[in-house]
Amino acid sequence: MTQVPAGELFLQYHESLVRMLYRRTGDRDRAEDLAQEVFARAVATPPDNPRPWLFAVALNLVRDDGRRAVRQGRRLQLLKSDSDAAAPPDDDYERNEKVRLVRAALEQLREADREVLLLKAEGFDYDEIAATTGLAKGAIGTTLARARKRLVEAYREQEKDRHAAS
Amino acid sequence: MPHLDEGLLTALLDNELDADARRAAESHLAACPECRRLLEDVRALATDADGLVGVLEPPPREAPAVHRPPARRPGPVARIQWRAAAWAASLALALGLGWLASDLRYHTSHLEPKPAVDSGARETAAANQPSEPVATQAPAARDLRRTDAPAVVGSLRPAAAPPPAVTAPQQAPASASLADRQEGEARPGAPPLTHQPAEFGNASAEGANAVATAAPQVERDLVKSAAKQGSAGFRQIGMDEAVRNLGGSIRLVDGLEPERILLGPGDLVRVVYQDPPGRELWLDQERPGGAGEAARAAPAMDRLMSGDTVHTLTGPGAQQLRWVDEHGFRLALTGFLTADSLRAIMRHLR
Repeated sequence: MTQVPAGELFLQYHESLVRMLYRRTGDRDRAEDLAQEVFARAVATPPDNPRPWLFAVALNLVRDDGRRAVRQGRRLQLLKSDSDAAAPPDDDYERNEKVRLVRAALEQLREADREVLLLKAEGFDYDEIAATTGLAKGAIGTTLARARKRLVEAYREQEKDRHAAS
Repeated sequence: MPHLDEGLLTALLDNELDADARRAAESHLAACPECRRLLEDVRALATDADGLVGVLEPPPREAPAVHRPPARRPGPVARIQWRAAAWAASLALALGLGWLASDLRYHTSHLEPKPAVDSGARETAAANQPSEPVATQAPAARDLRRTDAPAVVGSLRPAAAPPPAVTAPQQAPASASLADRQEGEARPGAPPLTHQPAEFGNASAEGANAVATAAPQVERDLVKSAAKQGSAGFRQIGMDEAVRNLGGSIRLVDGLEPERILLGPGDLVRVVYQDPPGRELWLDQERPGGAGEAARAAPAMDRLMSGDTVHTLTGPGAQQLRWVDEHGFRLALTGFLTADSLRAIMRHLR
C-alpha cells in the first residue's frame, strides 16, 4: 500500500483520533498529547495502512498510560482534575450529568468491547476494527452487539442510581 | 436455519455480511417473527448506544492567554484548532517540505544523520523518568501555560544557573552570542513579552492558508516586526561564510530550505527557517572554542555535556531546545512549536 505523507495523515485523522482518545480517556489535554505521540511515531515509522495503525498505536498508548496511572496513583489526580474542570454552569448541568453517566457506563465495559465501540463510532468498518484491535473479523459483530448492550444497560443503571440518590 | 444471533444481526445492520450470508439472514428473517423482533431490538440498541457515545464530544479548547485587541480575537474555529495547527506545522517543517531532499550542499561527512546528542538525551531522559515517557516528551498545553522555568530533559548536571526569563524567540537579544543570549534572558531588563505569537499553520499549503487567514493580520505584523528586532545586530551571510565561521561544517535541518543565514556576535550562526504563516524557526549554532565561548561570562551552557538537552519555554507557544552535540557545537532550536516537534526536527539535523 502507498504510504501517505505525514501531513496528510494528520489532516485526515487528527480530529477523529483526538475524539476517540478523548472518549477513551475523558481528558482532552491527555487526548491531544497522546495523539501527538501517535503522529510522532507515524513520522518515525510511516504506516502502510494508516488508519488502523494510528488508532492501534493510540489505544496501546492509552492502555500503557492507564497501567502507569494505576501504578502511580495518578488516576485519582486526573479524576479530580476532570471533575474540577467539569464544574458546569447551571444551564449545562443536565448535559454534563449525562456526559458523566455515559463516561461511567463506558468505564464498565471490557476493554475490547469499549475499543470496538469507539472505533465503530469513528466510522471504522469491521475489517479496520479487526486490523486495529487484533480481533477476528467474524467476532466484531458479536463484540459490538455486546458492547452496545452493556453500554446502554450500564447507562440506564447509572441513571436509575442517580434518580434514586436525588 | 437456526435463529439469528445478535452478532449476526449487528453485522447485517452494519452491512458487513457477505452476499451469501446476507441472503440467508434475510430469508430467515422473512420467515421468523422472533428474529425480526430481535433485529428491531438490536437496531434500537445500536441507535441508543451510538447516541450515548456521541454525547462524549471533546470540549472546545480554550484559547491560550493572548494579549490582543478583542476585535481581532480569532473565532472559535481558529481557537479550537490552534494546537492541531501547531502540530501540522511541525510536520510540515519536519516532513512536508521534503525531508528526503538530499541536496544539502554543506553537510560534512563526519556528521551522522542522527546526532548522538539526541539519542543520548532521549536515553538519559528515559532512564531518568521511566514511568513517564509520554509526559516528558509531550508537554501539554496546560503545562506550557503554567510553567515558567526551564524543563530539563536529559542528564543536565546540577547547575546553579538561574531560570531564563520568558522571552519570545523573536525578542531575544539578537546582538548576543548563543550563550549570551541564553544566559542574558535571565538578566534583569530582559524584554518582557508584548505579544502572543500567531499560531502555526497546517502542513499542507491549503491548511497553512486557512490558518494564515484566520490569524489576525496585526498579530502577524507584530511577529514579523519582532523577528526583525530579534535579528538586529546580526548580518546576513552566505552559506560559504557560515561554514567558514563554524570551522568547516554547518548543521542544517534535513529537507528544509533555509530562508537566510545570519552571523551574530561571537561567531554565532543563525539559520532561519520559515513556517507557512511566516514565522521563524531558528537554528543557532556556535562552534567549540569560538569567539562566543571565549567571551561568555555566564557559563551555564558550558555545564551542558554531549547528550544533554535543555528545554526552555521562551514565551506562550514558543519554546527552545538547547544542547551540545558530540562535536562540542552548541546548538539551539527556537520556534513556535511544542517540545516534541522541536525534538522531531532536532532528529533531522545534518
